[in-house]
Amino acid sequence: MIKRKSKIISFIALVALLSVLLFGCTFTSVDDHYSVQLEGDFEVSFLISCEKVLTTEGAFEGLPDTLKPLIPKDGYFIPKVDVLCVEGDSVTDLLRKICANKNISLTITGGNYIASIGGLSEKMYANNLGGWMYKVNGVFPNKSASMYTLVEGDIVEWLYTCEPGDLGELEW
Amino acid sequence: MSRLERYHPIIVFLYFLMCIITVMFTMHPVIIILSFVISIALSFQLEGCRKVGKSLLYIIPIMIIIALTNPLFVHDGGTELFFMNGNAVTLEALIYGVMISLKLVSIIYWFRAYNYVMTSDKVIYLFGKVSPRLSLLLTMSLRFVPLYARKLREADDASRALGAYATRNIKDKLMAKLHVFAIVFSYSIESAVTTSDSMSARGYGMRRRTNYHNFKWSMSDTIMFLFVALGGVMLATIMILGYSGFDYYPYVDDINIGAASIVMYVSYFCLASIGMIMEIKEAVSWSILRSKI
Repeated sequence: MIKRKSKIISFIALVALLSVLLFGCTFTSVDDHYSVQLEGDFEVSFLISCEKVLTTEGAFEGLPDTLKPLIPKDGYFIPKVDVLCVEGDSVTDLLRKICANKNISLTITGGNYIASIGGLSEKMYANNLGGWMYKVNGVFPNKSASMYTLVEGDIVEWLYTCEPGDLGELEW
Repeated sequence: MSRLERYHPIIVFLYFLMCIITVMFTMHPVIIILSFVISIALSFQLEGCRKVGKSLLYIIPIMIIIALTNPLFVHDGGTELFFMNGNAVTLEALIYGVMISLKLVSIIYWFRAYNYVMTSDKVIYLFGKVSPRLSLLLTMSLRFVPLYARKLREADDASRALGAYATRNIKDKLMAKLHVFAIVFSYSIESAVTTSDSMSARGYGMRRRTNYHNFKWSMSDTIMFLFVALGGVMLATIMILGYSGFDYYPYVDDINIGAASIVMYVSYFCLASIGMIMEIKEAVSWSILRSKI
């Protein structure tokens, strides 16, 4: 009797867990994901660059062979463009929209950490070096990209770093 | 007794070492799939369909969970299937997850076959001289798992016969179970001490003492040793040259069919399946011999 009861309870718990997992996730098809239109209230300037991979000595050769064709020849995933941005959008929100609009793959872990853009992910070099950093108006902001709210005229740059300090001094 | 069990322990140890180490150090899909198929087939041959089939019942769900977990957490890879919470679920990550699960399961089955063939007397024969303590510890702990399971069942049955579980109160039931656990625990400690005491009383691990063993190095052992050593050296050379590398991200590599790669696949296939082939050869020759009677 008790055995059957505990079986039923564990079955209900399993179903509840699975349904929470499934309903907690949003599923979108590939076409829907890449059909985002950029619209909004004001313009900001935006670029994604992996120039350091090309200019640092040995950095490009250090990448896996399968990754090399994905690196743009001029070092820019997106050259400097003016894009529309909605009031209250964070840097992460904008990056997400632009990548979806321009067919660039993007991986965000934990909801706010940019792990990879265009297939170029963090920790590509020895000792886990390498990763994406962002600049607004020429300085590295001292906060997470998902906390930084954009205002009109901001200049957002996403830059790939190959070794510490190659993108210039940090301000903090 | 199977053919593999009649080889010299060193040969059997080398054979399993080569098979397991090769598949451990590569992510090449051909090697992993070969190893998966051969290890399961060898287990079937050694232990029979019922036992291995029963183990597959819980191994397969584990495989599915492992294969599905990788694409949920790894978003690398170029072929996007769909998006979950804004992150891509990719084909490459799924393939990688499947390969990882095949690799894991094949290593489990290699060790299963190894444990079946390498009985404790062979382990002690091989490592008793090198490190008596470690090999004693290994064989004792390997033996104690089924022994304690049996003891636990016995104590459980006995306390059920005494009426310890004849209550609806969950707390009383738990206390009765705890009592059974305490019995088995004290038994295990005591038996471990008695076993090692009686071993040392009989002079186990003494330097000048010789052990009786019935393992003779025969001609077939030499042939097998040459075969395994040749296969191992060939595999090691090709793997060190870098032919066993395989990238899954951002796109899955094409399977290389150059000469060196083919040699690698064939030598791994021959090396891994030699145990199985010997078993089949033995069965066939036995049935031929019997038909002549």
